[in-house]
Amino acid sequence: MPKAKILIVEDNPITAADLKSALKKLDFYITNIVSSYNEALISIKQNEPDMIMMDIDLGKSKNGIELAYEIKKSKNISILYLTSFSDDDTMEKAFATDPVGYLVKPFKREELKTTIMLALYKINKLEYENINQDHTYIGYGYYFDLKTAQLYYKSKYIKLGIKEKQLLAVLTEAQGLVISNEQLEHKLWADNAPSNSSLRTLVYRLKSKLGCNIIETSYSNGYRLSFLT
Amino acid sequence: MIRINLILLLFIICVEASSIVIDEETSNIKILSQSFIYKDNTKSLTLDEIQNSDISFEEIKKSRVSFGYSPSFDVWIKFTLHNSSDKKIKKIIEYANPLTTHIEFFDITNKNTYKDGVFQINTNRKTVNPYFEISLEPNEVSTYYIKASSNITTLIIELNLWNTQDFYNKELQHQSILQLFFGAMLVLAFYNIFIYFFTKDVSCLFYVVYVLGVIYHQLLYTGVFYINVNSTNILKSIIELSPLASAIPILALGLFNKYFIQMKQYPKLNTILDVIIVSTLISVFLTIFSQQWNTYRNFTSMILITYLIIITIYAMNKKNRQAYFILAGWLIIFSAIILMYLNSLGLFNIYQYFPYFIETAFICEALLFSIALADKINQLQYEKNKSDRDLITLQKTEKKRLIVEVENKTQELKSALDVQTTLLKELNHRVKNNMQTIISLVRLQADEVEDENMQNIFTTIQNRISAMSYLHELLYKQSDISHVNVHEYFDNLIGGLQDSYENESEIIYDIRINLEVESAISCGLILNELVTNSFKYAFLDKLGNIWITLYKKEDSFYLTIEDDGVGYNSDQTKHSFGLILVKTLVENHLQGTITTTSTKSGVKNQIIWREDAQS
Repeated sequence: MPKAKILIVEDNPITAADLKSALKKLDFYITNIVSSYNEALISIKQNEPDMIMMDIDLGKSKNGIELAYEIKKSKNISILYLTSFSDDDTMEKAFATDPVGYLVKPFKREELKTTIMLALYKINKLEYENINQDHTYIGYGYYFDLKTAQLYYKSKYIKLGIKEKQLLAVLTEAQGLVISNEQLEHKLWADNAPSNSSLRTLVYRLKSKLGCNIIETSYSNGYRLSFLT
Repeated sequence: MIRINLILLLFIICVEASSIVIDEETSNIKILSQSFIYKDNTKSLTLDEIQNSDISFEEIKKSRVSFGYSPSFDVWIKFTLHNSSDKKIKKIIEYANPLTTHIEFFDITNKNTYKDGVFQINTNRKTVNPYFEISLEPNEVSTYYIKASSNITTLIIELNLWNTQDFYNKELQHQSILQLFFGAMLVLAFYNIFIYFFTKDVSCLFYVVYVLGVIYHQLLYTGVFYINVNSTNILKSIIELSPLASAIPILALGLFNKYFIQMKQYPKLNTILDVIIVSTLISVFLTIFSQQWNTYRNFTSMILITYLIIITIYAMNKKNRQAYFILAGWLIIFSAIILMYLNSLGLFNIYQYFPYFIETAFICEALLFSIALADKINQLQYEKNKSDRDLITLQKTEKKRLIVEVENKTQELKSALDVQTTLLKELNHRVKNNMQTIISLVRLQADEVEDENMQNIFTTIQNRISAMSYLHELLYKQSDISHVNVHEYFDNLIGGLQDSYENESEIIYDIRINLEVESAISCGLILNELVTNSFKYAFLDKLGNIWITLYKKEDSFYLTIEDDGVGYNSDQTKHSFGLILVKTLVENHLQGTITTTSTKSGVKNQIIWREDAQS
């Protein structure tokens, strides 16, 4: 299998160098490192990558989300966002471009590795479908096994934290119905009820890990699986 | 015989020339124009002396004579009646004025004397005017004398001769009309008393006084009063107070006028009005106590009335709505009073043309004022409603204005807050980016190093920088920037460590409070070190439990990090930079204490610091 080709769109040269070093270690081929909207479009024409590591804030030029839309017009190149924006608004806009992942800065190389492997899996293994009858399809190519509380992308096992698993289990069982914040907090933390921002953080982490809008906020008083509704 | 007849005829002709020929049909004729008059300035002549031929009576040639208020003489009237029929006839001589105080009627033929008049009232009389019954034999010629004088009241003499039937018919009609008048006036008085009780408008009260005054005055003026009071003494005192009878309605009218057109609006005119009202009052009392004033007693009243008319016209010019009504009323009452005054002075007799002129005028005027009062009440009601509406409109407008104001202010505050929030987000965003740069720099350096120990050191550094960056991540996301949601912060931080060390241990939180940014960042770094230690050394199979609790008790914070791992020997860790860092942060930054207990069943770290001790 030839090395996957990755374009880095990042306006901070040190972060770009760090990213390049990390990706090289993971045995990827870096087509180019660019720092602006226009440079990125030119670079894609010259050497088309399989995937783009996309920063959203590109200084004075148009931002990464706009760039993603422009690219998607003509090419089918996967986008993996790597940004310091972690607010709902930006994530919502980014997820609308159907990315293969969303990684929040400052990132750890372990996170980068997990995210990028999942992203590549999403890119390359589209044809393989999960055939296990016990698994519940929960959207965006993800399957959840309620018996073992394990998550799969198609047939690939996705490693999740304990709380992340519990959250997905509760929402999968609900079959698309809204579960209120209070109910979720009670099920996840029992008597150690934390603030509801912990739940919000958990959801945001899971969404960013899976790189899609798999969990939908319902009028800010509960959550549900968007696909199952 | 012929001679005798001739003489008789001459005598008759002679007598005819000065006598009034009547028969049984004669009725309602004026006697005075065919009578003779003599003024006795001495006021002492008796009937006998009057009959003396030295006294020269004069012809009157008028049907009515007036001598004004309390003339200083007696008036003698002489007239002769000749019954031209061959039947005995009975007639009534009506003295057509109820106000004269002393009247004496002398029937020479029958040698009868009758007395009447207000001061010597004939208590059997039920008619308004005094009258005297006479009877004449067929063809009889009879001479009568009347002596009249008047104290206080005006002396007006008018004599009518009536058939008994006609006289009583006329009297009945007259009294019915008067009763109608008094009834109407009383109704108006009651009506306005009630209006006063409901509206508390003082002008209503003066109006009632006015109407009652008019009633009182008219009772006296028309003579109705005298025939219903039997005591001469009472009558005398009432007559003596008669100046009041005309003054009361006029004064009440002045006060009514004053309040009704709200004279307070015109202070100067109001002061003058007060002065005139007071002088009228003084003049009334002067009149009562000194008879000299009697002739001029209406003088101040006339000034008052004239002045009232002037101010009413003035107010009308000032667009005072009430003044229009008042002026119309004034036109009526003024002409009535003028005519009455002229009548009292004997200059002009309105009754001759319009018998119930005064009564009609009073009723019209009283009705007009009642309408005016009703209109004023309406007007007040209208103004009240209008001001109510205005008030409501004002309230609504004010409310709207306040809503807009509040909205604007809220908008301003909101945008100010938005700017602030955006700036802070931007700041934390930049900090995050810088931390990414630092971490990237560390990692790039680490990439150059092969040694595993060095790699560990770089990882630890990365984690420490990350520990701080999670805080900025939270600050960037939350709106309250003074406090940090500790649970969320610790959860993110430990989640990162779990990724870093691939550790699946269960973390059990009991976080009861939030911390200020300063202490939160220290606690974050402390937690980073202690949990890293647990992950690295406590759990041999990378699975275990970590309990993290934070609470506040009596101004002190208690942070506990406890695991159920294998524990460690304190000697081995003496020179651990991580623990030195923890100690430094606890003692120097938090100014607290740390207690570490390590057993084979786990390690427990408790950090205590006081709320006010931080630098």
